[in-house]
Amino acid sequence: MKNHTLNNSTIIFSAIIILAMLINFLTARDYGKSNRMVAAGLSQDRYFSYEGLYSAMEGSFPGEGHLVIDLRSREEFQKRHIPGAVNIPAGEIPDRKNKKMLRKSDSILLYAGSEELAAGCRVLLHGMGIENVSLIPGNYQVIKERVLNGFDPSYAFYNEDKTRWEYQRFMPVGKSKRESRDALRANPDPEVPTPVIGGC
Amino acid sequence: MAPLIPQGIINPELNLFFALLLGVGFGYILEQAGFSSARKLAGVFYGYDFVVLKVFFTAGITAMTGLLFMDYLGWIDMGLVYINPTFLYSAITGGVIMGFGFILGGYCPGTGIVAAVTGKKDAMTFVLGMLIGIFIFGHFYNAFEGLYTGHFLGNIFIYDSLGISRSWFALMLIAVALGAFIITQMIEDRVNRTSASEISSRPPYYIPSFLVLSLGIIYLLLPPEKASSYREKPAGAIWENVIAGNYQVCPQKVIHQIKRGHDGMALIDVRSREEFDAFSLPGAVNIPVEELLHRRWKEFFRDTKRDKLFFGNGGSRAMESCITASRAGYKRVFMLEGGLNRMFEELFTDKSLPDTTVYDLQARSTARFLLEAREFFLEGGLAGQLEKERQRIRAPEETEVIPVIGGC
Repeated sequence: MKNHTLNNSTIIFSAIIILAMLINFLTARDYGKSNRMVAAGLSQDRYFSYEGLYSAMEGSFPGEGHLVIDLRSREEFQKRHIPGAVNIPAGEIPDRKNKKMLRKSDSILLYAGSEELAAGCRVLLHGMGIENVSLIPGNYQVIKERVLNGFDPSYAFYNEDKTRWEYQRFMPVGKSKRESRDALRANPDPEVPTPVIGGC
Repeated sequence: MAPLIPQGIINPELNLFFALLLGVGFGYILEQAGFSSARKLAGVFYGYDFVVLKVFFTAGITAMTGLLFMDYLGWIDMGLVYINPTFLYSAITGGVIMGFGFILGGYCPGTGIVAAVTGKKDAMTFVLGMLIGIFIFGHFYNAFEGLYTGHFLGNIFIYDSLGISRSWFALMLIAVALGAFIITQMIEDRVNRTSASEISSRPPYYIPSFLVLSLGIIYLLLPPEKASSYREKPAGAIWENVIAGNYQVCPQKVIHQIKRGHDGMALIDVRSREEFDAFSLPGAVNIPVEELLHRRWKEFFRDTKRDKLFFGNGGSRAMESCITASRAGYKRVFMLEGGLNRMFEELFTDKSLPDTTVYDLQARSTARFLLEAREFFLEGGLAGQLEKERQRIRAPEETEVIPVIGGC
């Protein structure tokens, strides 16, 4: 009798775990990397500078080991694009064929009609497990003006996430705001839970 | 009742009642396993009965495998589980005292109480001695304090000290437990001089050993962190929203909301701390991307009454945060299109305003909106919102984690 109890309980215990893992596996989304890990990786360097783009374009660009993806529509791509770029319209990124191609390359550079869209695409690819993705900063118009139509060295490290205005000058928010915030940070509520400790 | 009391599901005043129930249950199991007999407990040292080792090893690996998998599946938050910190000197002293008491009395504290309840006189003496010890320690605590809190090591883990991963250690522990079961059985048979026919009639525990070992191997082969959970939004849906521009909010709308006191909108600054301290929109909270999924902000994002608007200098960092939050299953998350740069361009750069004398309603209202907004922001119309802002900044920081504390 006792022997059966051990056998049965082990089987039930393992069955619960394996069943849960199976359900988890079947209901899994198409992600290859957990959200927390993606968020931790996002703070890394995300831009491929115009300087790098320009010097890479001196030679034949795709030969450098970079895969440049143009996320704009087909018509826009046909008008003009970065030499050597491959066109994948933004909506077709999740297609299996495209994902396969992206997985193979060592370094992917993205650009689109707006930097936001390219940044969004980068996060998505990170989530799918494709990590070596960087952005070419700015939208296509800016790239065209500052790199394709003649390189402007003063924009060598341009990106849209840099502060362009002196905000304080426009929006005086007053001193009391910062003071109150500092006071808050210096003296947070000392609410320490009283521990109840037990032992065998 | 660990997760239920700090979450406020069970009244903390009922804590002791549940402690009583659990204690009675634990005592019943100890009694059922035969642990109220000092003879049985001491069997480990003489080699004729290893049931103590078997029971505690079984309990240990069952709890370990269960916790590891529940942690992996996201059913349990290991960050909330209290881990006893290590004080080296008191651990060594305590171990010596406990071992000495075990040899002397034949009980450990838990089993001693079980035995005392069943009416064993030696156990009652043992419990009395224990109470006297507790009294002495409590009364002369000042004298013991140096020893008690000596050489604090913090929460150290055995697998970190060994330099191996958690999953390898789990598998090793399972293997060690199974090995210990076999070896102790052999020792037991030799000491008790069990006849060969009795040994062969004993059922072999192939199935449980195999299952437990395979669970350990499955855990070893799993990726370190689960890629996705069922709560998350699928990538396809997020991507469709990004392309359709459902996350982006135009600057005019945001300016309008700020002017009205933005009751329906929570502003989230994704820039660095320094930039936030230098300047931010009124009422904004600072959440960098790395901190976004921290437990502290969960409550803040679960508030479905307000839209959550991310903004940065440009749009790309805000978009990253927005997608991360959306994937985590948070509703009503948006981002400021073009960021602060575009917003200030729209507001303040010298755009030629359309002639207000022309009879074009749309052009006139646009011009009036811009003029009003400029006046509002430049003249410091924001000052009235400072009091409100103080509450906003304070709200999410308060939710401090209360670790659940308990022991065997």
